[in-house]
Amino acid sequence: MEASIKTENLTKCFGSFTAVNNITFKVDKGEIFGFLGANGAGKTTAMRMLCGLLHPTSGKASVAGFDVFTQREQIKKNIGYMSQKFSLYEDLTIKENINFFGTIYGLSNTKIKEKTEQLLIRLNLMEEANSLVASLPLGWKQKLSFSLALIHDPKIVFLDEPTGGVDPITRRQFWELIYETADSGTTVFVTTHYMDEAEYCNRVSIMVDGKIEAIDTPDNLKKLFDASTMDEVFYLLARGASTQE
Amino acid sequence: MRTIRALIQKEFKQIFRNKIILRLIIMLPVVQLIILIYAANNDIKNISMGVVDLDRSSTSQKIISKLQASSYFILNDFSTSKKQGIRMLEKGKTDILIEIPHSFEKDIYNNEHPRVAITVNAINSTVAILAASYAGNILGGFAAEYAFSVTQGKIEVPKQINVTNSNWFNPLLDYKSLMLPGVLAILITIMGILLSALNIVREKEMGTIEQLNVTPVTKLQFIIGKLFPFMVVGLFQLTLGLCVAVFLYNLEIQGSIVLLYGVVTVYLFSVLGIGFLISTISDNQVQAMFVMLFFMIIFILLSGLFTSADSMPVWAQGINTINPTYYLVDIIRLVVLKGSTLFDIRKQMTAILIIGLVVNAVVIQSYKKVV
Repeated sequence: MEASIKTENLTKCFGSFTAVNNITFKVDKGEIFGFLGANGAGKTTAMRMLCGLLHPTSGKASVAGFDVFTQREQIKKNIGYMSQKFSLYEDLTIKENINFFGTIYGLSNTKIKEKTEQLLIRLNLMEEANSLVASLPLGWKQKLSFSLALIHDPKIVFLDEPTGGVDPITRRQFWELIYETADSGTTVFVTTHYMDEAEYCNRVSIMVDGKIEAIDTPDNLKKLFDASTMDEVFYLLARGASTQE
Repeated sequence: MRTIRALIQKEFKQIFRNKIILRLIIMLPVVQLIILIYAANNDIKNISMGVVDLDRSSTSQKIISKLQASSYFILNDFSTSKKQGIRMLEKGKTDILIEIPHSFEKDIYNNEHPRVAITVNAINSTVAILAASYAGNILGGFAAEYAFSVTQGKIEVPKQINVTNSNWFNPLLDYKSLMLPGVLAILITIMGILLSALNIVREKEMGTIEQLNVTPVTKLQFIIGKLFPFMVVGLFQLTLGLCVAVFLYNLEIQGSIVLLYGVVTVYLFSVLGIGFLISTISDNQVQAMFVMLFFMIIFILLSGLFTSADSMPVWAQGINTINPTYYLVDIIRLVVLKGSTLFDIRKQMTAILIIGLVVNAVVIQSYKKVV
């Protein structure tokens, strides 16, 4: 199967601190890849490098077949990104946000119209279409944010802790959206703190102190570490970390 | 092109939805023009005057009533000794003390040199200089008249050269005419820098700028998308300000209005650039505010709005060569009061344009989509 994301010894240093230390991994097309790690382990830094928001210090990486050093602009056309912090325009309505991001990604007006309708129906936000994003509850905002990251049908979507602070029901719905997305062939690269969510992923990697300590399917990892849940696996690996909260 | 249009539309929607900013945009020019013009008035009237008349003659009486008759002085104290008069000055009851000595009238008749002493409270040196010179003028006029009437033209009064002034471009020496165009320039500066600097920092704080950075929007598109809406806002404020100037203060605009708009557009290009620059070096709105205040106070104080820029020390004039506000205050005054043409103001225009180009080049260089 062709690789969606491929990194080789990717490293990022901030001064003398190495945030991401020689990570090498591969994510296949259509896969849901869980990128786990404690706070400060370097997940967000690694993800920001892959999205073209941050210059890697050394190593190699390609996203959707494009090089992160030289083809950043092509990468941006082919990926969607949902950051940790909610970052749609709160003072615009749902419809206006869809329109805005649709246009920026170069979608035609008819396509935007079609997408808007699909999106509103899928998220059941028909009635709120013209209300300001600021007035929505967090869970709805997150789902909207996710859907907008997909508006231009990217090959890969990066989700940085998408379910932080969201109630269990909405989390469940959120994961349903993720499954739908992966089924349609989009690669999902997701970071999370919740180990139950890790079980939903096809494969996960666990980062400790800037290094990837384990990478496999959740089942294999549990077998390998002789653990019954991903929670235990995570504890075993993260215990030795120096940069825990 | 569609991207830029989407960015501009978004910006306008945000401006119109932000009720406070919207009110500020409309109210600020009107209120500031009304308040500042009256407050920043350099005409000095109603100076509190104390008099010590030791002569108590008909001549000294005439002098005092002459001073009182002018609109500049109000007689607030009539002391019997110089000591008492000085005390009133020290207490701040009076700002100027006119002392007429014992032998004043006698000296006139004996053809000695009659003297009058003027003592001024010079804490505010501008008031002091003006008060003393008003009083001096009135006394001088009195002396000439008096000499003529007493001698009935028989004694030859030393010939004086009579100087008459005609005040060009501001014939009534109306202070408002000088302040109005200047205040207008300051207004456009404040709002321009304020809106542009805070706007981008706010996108940083909200995280929306990162969302834009993962899209294919280019730096240039982003900056044009910010420049254009704020330029429109700035020109709108100019329009509002001009309306106030024309309809409320009956200011006659001598020069071309089109030129005025052209000048302000170029000016906005450079101050908005400065605002963007501030936003790229600030992480939050508080920081941006302080950096902005720092620059704005220097720009405005050195601009020549309140004091003449030509009489500033060389180093200050040096700073002014890169101070866009200095050029704008100058240009607006020239165009509005004197009717200068583009050719007349070409030097200042070139300077503003160069500042704008340099600043915006730095902005494009330093605004990073990738860190």
